[in-house]
Amino acid sequence: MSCSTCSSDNPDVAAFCHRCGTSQHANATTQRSYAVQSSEGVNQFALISTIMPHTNRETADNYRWAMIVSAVLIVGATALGLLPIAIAAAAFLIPITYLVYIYDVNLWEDAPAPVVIGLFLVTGILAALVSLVFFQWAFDTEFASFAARGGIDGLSFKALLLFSVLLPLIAEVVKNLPAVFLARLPQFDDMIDGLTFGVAAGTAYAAFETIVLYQAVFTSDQLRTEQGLATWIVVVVNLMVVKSLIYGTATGIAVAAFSGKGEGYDGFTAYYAKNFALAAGVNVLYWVGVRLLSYLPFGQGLGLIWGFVILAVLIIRIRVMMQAALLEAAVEAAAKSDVSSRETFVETFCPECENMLLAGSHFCIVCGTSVRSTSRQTRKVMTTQALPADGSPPYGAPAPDADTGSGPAGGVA
Amino acid sequence: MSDPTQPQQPAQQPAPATQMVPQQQPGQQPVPPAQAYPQQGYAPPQQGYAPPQQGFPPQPGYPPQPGQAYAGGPPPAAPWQQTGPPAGSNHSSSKGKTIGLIVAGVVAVGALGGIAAVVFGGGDDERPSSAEVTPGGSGSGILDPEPVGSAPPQPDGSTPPAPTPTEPAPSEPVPTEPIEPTEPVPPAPSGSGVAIGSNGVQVIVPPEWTIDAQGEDSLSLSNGESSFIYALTGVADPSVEASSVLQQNLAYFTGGESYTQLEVYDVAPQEAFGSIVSLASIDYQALWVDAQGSFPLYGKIFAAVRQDGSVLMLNVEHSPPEDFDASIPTWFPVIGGSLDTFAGVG
Repeated sequence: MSCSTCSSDNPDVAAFCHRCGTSQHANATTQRSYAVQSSEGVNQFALISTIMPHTNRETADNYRWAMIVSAVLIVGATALGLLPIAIAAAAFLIPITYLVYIYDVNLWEDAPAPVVIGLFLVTGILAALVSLVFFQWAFDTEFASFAARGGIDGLSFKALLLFSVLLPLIAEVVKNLPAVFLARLPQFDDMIDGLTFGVAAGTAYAAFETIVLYQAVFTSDQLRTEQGLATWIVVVVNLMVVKSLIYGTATGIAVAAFSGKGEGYDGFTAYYAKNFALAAGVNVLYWVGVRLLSYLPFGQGLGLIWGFVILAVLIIRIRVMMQAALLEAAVEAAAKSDVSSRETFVETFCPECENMLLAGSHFCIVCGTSVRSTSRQTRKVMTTQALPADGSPPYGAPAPDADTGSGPAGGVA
Repeated sequence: MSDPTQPQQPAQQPAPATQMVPQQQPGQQPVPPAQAYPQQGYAPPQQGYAPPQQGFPPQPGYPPQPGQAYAGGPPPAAPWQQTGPPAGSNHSSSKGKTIGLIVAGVVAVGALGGIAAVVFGGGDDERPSSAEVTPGGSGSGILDPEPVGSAPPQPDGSTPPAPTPTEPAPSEPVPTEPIEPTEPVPPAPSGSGVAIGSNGVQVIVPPEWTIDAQGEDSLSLSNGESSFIYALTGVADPSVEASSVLQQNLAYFTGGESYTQLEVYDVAPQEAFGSIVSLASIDYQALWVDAQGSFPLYGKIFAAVRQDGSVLMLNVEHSPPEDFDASIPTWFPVIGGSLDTFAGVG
């Protein structure tokens, strides 16, 4: 049967068009499954599949359990008053998880140095510098004014502008720099790569900023704290989950917009500017809300809830953005009869549902999962199984005598 | 010749095409692996998966590409080629390895944090020598300042015991009742006076200090140099000791959820003067924390009870604690001037 959207022929049994991902059922327009993880809906709050789009249902559970176990250990350390341990671990939980994820899906294309150094170390050093300037070297008095009594009437407007508006704006620029640099490289120009690098940079920034801002727990004469632990538990959960992921997802949105939906990266377009403004604006909104809510009873807890609300909005935004990009890019490619390096070249198997992926597929005809969301090693297999007629490697595939571990799987940008 | 519109079946697969590719409704869960191909169960390359001999026919607008196994099947595999489905999983690591790597990494970073605390923590646990600050009618303020950590002089000449933290006693703040001042408030010695409370207690605000917030019986000041003063007034029994007022109201000043690692030192009675019948102070140290950051601070609370039962509590805080002594000249005019005025000697 022919797809009503792109006119591609599909098997009669196909639930989704293998080229553009359009559902082939007439009554399928009401609810669309998420093209990155077909077992979920687009508007579903699902963290792992959103920030780790190369996972499938099985591997997503690995990360979920790892994060749950780690979080329990960290909260336990906090409850025991072991703040130096808890703060350090909480700051780096998401970055460590993300580093393992990038290794796991070989996102760094067997060249980990630029990715790890660029994303984690450079971003971390910049984050530490910005944090030191704002919180210790230039505006320490303004930050200390948040501790002044007098309720919200005593809130310094200057301090509010500095730490809830100016700092998030500068931080967003810093977070974007290394991620955008990587997203310009041909092997990393997919929108999913941009998202991943943005998330990684954002979480790295959050981690190093946290260490700078809570360094007092490392220099305190109280190795074990027994007072104010309820507050610390709320703060640690905030640092561990909310702050880290808000920073990461917001930057991920901006850098994904830099990458663009199709082949190659779009660059500093109006679309990027719009999404950068969204990322920065969300950070401003988060910190202004946290600051103002802190003057209410149970303000720390309210700030945590506020952060979860912001995070939920960002998660949904990423999913909608990614869904639209994957489908639109596929339809565009089909309409132009383009052959993309991101499609399958031979019949293979869907990593999500393990049914057959047709040659030339952008989507699984059974579950609708996008081929672009598969891991690098799987895509490498999908795109290197067939030899062109002239014997040269197909798109993006390494030459027969080349080191198969170092070539760009994504191939030609 | 098979139907060219149907997907090719992998050789030796038990399920027919209609079972392999089930109809799926929107929102429906995809076929679990066990129903289609067993997890990790597809046959090794060259064994269970035969390349299709015939694919879909070329479609309009989608010409077959060189080397693509879209129509007519793939060319013969070269030795360097990988064939068949991806071996194993979508990812490099197994479940146990993934979880183990992440948890081990988090534990390792946490351990580094603990080591850092052992190495860098507790370097200077001496409290500032702010116990030397004694307001008096002369307004001299600082009595014989000594280096940080030095023992303050005691009335009996003995060496005082080391400061010992005490638990704050939760209580209500000083109750306020409208009273008539028993004597006219003298003019502020330096800076302008701001009246708070129904008893018209004056708080001296030097020019370099700004009023951040003012309530009916409270005033919040800052000097732009990380020193903050909070003044609170109320009424109590004139016979009550200032030290008792401090103990009873300590939780009001330091009981906020942002005050952690609180260390409260012993109440230090001070010599009353003027119409003040009882005067005392208490020091504390805390780590202020919220979702955006944290910093250590050192605080001192003065409590003065006047003959008419009026109570004035002045709380000064400064960050970082090691600079508290150096900050005394900046905040003492507020404390000393206000207490002098309160005592009627200013």
